[in-house]
Amino acid sequence: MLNTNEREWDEQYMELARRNTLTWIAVTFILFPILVLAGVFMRFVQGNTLGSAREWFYPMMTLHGMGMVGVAYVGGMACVEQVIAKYTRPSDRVSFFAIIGTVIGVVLLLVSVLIGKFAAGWYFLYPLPLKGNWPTWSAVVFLLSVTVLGATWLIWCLDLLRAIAREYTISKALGWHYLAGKTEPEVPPAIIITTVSLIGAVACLLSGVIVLALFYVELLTGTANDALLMKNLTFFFGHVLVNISLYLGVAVIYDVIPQYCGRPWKANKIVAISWNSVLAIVLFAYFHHLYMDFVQPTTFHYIGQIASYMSSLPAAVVTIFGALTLVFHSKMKWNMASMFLFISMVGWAIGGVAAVIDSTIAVNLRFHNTLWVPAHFHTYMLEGLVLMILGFYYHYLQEQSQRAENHTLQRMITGLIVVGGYGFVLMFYLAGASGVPRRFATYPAEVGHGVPYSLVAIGFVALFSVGLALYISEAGKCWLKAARS
Amino acid sequence: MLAEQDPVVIQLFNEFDRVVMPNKKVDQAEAESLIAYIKRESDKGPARAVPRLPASVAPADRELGRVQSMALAVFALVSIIIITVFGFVGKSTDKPRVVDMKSAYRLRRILFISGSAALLSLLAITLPVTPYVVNAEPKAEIIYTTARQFSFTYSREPVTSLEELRFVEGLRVLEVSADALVEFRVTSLDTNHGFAVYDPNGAIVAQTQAMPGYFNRLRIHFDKPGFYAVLCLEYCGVAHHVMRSGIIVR
Ligand code: HEM
Ligand SMILES: [Cu+2]
Repeated sequence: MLNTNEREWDEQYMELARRNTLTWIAVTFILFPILVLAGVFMRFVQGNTLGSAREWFYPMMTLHGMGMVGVAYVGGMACVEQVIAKYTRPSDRVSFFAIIGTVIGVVLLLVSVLIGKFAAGWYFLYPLPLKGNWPTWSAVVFLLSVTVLGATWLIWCLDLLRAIAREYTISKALGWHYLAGKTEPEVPPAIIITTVSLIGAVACLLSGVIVLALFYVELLTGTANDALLMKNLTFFFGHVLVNISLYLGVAVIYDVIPQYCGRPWKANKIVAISWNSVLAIVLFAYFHHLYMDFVQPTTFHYIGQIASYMSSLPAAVVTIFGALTLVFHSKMKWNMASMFLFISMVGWAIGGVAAVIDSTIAVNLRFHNTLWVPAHFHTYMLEGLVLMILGFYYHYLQEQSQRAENHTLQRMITGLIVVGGYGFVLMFYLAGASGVPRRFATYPAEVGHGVPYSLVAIGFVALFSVGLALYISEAGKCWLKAARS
Repeated sequence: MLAEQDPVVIQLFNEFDRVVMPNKKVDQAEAESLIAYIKRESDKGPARAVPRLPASVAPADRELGRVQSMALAVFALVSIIIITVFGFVGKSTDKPRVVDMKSAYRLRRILFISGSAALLSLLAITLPVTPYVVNAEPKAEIIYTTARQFSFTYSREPVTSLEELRFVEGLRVLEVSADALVEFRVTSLDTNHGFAVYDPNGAIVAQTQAMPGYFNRLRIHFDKPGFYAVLCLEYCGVAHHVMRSGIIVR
């Protein structure tokens, strides 16, 4: 039993956590549509329709990529923080600090790209930031932006880990006692997956910090860095960041789907084995980004392919299979939240299959840096993680506001987002398989068939955008009602 | 110069896809020696016919490569299975009932075993097929390929600096005889670039990265005669998409 004092403190805490979550939702609802517009802009340029505005292609590509990866990551973190607030107490001050740090980082990013026309791409591969036709100050501001974001997120991760360790200890939060054959104490799967993701996040953010430090050293002293080392560090950072963002979304699924299908989803030995192996495997799979760097030791290439193949097993056989058995013939309550969360696993699975195909060295020789790459990651980001985040947001807002639901409208929104999203990525897949490179502002005649694919994609993005607008208006009404109470 | 609205510059600017040239920060003396050098070289006149890079054209009949078609087919098949399974499970909620978890676990075991077997055999088939050069046999013709913002140069000798590039006999487009086995040793003088070779039907045959400070060795056997386009496949700055070259196979 809680005494009155504790209960009061608890209520205060929950109210602060609620405010933070509502703020994160608002931030996402503003940034995400703007970043989608930057994406459509790129498709228009690639469709040869925008004339001289095409000089903005690469700055917009940088803004869109960095912005989307950032929004997806903080969106995932915000969802998870709200989910685990049921079990443990992350600091509300750190969470607020994370909001401020993220906003400062975004402002620096906007200055660098919109005023300085900085355009080295979202993972700013060394030494391009120092060798572009943009002013040096814009590169410095960009690096500062990434530094602020990285430092803020590192602190945020460490605080969540602290809160989890306090309640469970890290070894139990990783489910190691399940591995030892015990069933007590019970640890919610969301905690296990969150812990795995946070440890991965700390590792990749540290790698990002090293890259940044090496950049600053070169800026200050002029000593050149090793391009292969920088590439390894950069891709470790980028690969792990994107993957663990997705796992944050999966943690949410483990927690929320049971509430809609009325069946419990408990951790056990299998779940623990599965997620511990994910942690080990994801750290090695990044080698698949360096297949085309032939000077990298060949063993690393083989490790990359084996790790990439193996990472699909726990995801498919434990998590997706588990979710499917949970929903199978259940009394599922379908609304926008449960539909989004269920369908998000399709995007995760299909994007994952495309990734495994591309992680085959013999295939990568033909697919590396073609549009197949944005094809696969847009599948599991846009039709995977984004659906998880928007699904959870709606679930939370609906719970808070208890607004009456219009099921026909919700089905229509889901349909628009699914058809628009998959049509959009299909154009990337077809173009990529037939050799159209990624990151080309306009297509030379050799790959001129990229142009019609861009134009068709715009049509699909239009459908997606109508769905997104309707979603934001529905969820936004819940938000207003929840914010007023 | 753009800012001064110099008419020649404006015309060049529009012709070349409105790309602003990176300011190479050449001072007066350097510029003069460069101009003198260009004059000296052009006065020599053409020693022999240097092949010129043909204009960018679409391949006459575009075809997917064999590997590309297989990848696309596998992808389509697995995606359809995934969508069908999710559709089936989603639909099943129309008729709620108790599900026998025992049989679900049995199914999971079967899936785990067959999935592992499938992955392992795919690994066994695909892992040996790699582009990495492990030994020097058979002998290949060695071509040093130097990438920089925003062009490729082929030469017989290695190039590791702009200075050296001035003194080698460099070509913008390479000519090889049909059936040649060529080993490209690819490097870069500035940022990362990609060196991707498209066959005459527009399918990528192979690629490697061009990285400052390293030489990547890529072997290609040119079996069909024709024009093999080369594009830069690693983003390298504002004119990345116009960075191209080619290999003429006779
Ligand atoms: C409907 C929504 C979206 C549209 C229309 C869109 C469009 C695009 C386009 C056209 C590109 C450039 C492709 C190329 O030629 O290389 C791109 C790149 C990218 N997108 Fe999106 N995108 C969308 C959603 C997302 C989402 C949800 C994410 C992540 C959460 C995302 C992350 C990225 C990243 C990381 C890049 C690579 C940037 C780079 O190469 O530096 N996008 N997107
Ligand atoms: Cu390039």
